[in-house]
Amino acid sequence: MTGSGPTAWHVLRGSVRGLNKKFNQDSLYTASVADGAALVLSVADGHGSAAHFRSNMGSRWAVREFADCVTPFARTVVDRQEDPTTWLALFAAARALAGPICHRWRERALLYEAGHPANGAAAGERNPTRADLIPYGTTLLGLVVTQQLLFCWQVGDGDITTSADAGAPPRRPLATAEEEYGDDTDSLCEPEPWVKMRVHCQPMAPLGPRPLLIANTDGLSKSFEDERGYLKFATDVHSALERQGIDKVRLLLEGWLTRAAGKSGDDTTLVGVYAGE
Amino acid sequence: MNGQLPKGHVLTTPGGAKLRVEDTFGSGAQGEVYRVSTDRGDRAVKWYHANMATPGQREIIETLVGRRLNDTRFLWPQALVTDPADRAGAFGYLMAVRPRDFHDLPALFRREVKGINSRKLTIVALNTAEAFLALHAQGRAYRDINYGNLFFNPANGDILICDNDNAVEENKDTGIWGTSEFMAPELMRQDPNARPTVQTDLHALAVLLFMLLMNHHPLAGKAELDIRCFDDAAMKRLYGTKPVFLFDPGDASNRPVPGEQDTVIANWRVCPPVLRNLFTQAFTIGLARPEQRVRETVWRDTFSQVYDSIVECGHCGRTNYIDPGANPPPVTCWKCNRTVDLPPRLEIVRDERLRRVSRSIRLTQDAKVYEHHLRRTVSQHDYSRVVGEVEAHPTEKGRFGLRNATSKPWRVHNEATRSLQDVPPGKRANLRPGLLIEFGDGVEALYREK
Repeated sequence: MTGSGPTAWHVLRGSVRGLNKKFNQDSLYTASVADGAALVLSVADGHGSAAHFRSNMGSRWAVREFADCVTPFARTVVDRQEDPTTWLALFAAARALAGPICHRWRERALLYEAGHPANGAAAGERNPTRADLIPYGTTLLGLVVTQQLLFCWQVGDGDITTSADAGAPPRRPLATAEEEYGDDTDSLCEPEPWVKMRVHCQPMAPLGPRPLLIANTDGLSKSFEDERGYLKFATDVHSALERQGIDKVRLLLEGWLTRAAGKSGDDTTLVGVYAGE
Repeated sequence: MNGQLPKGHVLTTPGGAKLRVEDTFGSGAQGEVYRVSTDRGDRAVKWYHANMATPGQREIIETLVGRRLNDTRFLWPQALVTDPADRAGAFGYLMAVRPRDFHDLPALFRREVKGINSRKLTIVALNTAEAFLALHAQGRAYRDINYGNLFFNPANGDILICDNDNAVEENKDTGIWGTSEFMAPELMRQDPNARPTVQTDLHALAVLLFMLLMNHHPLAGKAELDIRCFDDAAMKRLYGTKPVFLFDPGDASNRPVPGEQDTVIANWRVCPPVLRNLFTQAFTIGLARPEQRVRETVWRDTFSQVYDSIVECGHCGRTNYIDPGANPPPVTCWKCNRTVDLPPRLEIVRDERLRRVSRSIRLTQDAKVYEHHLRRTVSQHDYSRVVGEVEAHPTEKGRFGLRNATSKPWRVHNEATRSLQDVPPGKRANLRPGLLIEFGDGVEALYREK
């Protein structure tokens, strides 16, 4: 990325299987767009219970379909971000993407379901518009980051967190007043999931020159006793990045996630971007 | 602080008031909203992002502060706010704090709002139309009506309209053209001479009302789902060059898709014909001909009548919309699929421009006669100003009384017995065929079986 903002962006990514889980049903995806002028990051948490026995597929499709859907948008943002009079329209366009993101995931799941019905129905007995997508249930959290602007989308539990600097309390801009609890969560497999999709857009400037942005599945936040513990983790990661540098933190990240997955028992996945030297 | 202004920072108004930053309510597209403490209690400050804090925006805020709108449904800018420690010219504006019991539309769509029902939702719609009527009556255009600006209280249907920082006279250029999904087609297409006006507000208002009641965008059906790359060109086509209403009677190309857009299909089915007709007008002929868009007064009066025609199914108890007035088309209950029995109605008759006009109130347990029923014009419907309360007979199903909630007696004529009697305040008139109640000033109520 170029311009007056952060001089370099460093991506963090890691995913760890939960304790006693047969396989990891979380997915993550990171990509740079427009020669690195924008970053697309996403994580998804396949629900993993018996009813959602194909949720590893659902989460994988979620991060990929999200990326495919927002990549053209990210290019548009790069083209227009230097003109602040376009920002409100970009924010509106980001909100309007909720429907297409969910629709693409649904189409992807329906396509697979048509050939491999989860309930074993024969071809003549299938109703493609009423197909049961519960086996593929997953959350989705995604970011588009450019030098000037930040866009976040979220369906279901998990956290998107912004930290302006290591000395300030981080924020979770899409946190709900009533946090989801237990295993109940909004999901892409529900009817009309876009109404449940929360969207946040903001300029990057208030986040200062060296922000840290994180998206993680709830395996991480559930490993802490409360929200304060989770936010302290975000602050500690930010401090470690500033004191020890990105390479060291990348080495440490898997250990942190492994410890979290051990405590929560859940698959634990994190993607992040740090603006450093 | 993870934002522009640190906790404890002091801002000022031109009047010298000191505002201490306490914490943030949130951040958005144009700026951040902070809770500030003042001598008069907590207030909110919207503080513009540096790129949004333009001289033009500052002039607009100063204009708005100088010309307030006397309507409590708007969280109007109360004062320009500046930072004495800042030399870059940053600014914001002071406003009241939005109470916590007000929710936004996305929360409604996510089914997170407890206690909302058909009646309250209808009052929200009515209030919304009436509030924009008050704004437009002053020659001002809002310019960016969208679901992020409307907040409502599910307990009583009260609303608050936020982000009023572009609501100046329609002949002024604020640089704001609106939010794509709500922009009138001529604005989306960027037609020559097209600019945000009251007429373009009327399109956005119709979209907002449709989304409020149907929980879906009126132009986002099959055509939206067919889009692979949802970019500018696609949005322009969907909302500007080829907009097609989901339920356009002459064009079925953009119907909602079963299995993926079921909510709007179900909600349209239970929508009363009088509202369906208005939505159809707004999103068919109204798309191409701005002068044919549905006026705020029409929306307001229709929602007011629809409110009085909400009835409970006698079989399952669920509320259903029926068409206002006498002899509405039969309605099948959305829940139990049985025909909804029509309760009797009270026909209110009054003078209006040298003629007698009437409207109906279906007699249900929750029905009331309100002050706005008796008056020719009201600037604001107030559902706390009750004139008469309907009471169901304790033992005889289908029989009702009307309790006088005013401080003056009513005169009641009974054609069957040819009797005349007064109903003092607090007492009840038993509603029977042939009964006529005089409320005064030429306003009467007649009991009708159908």
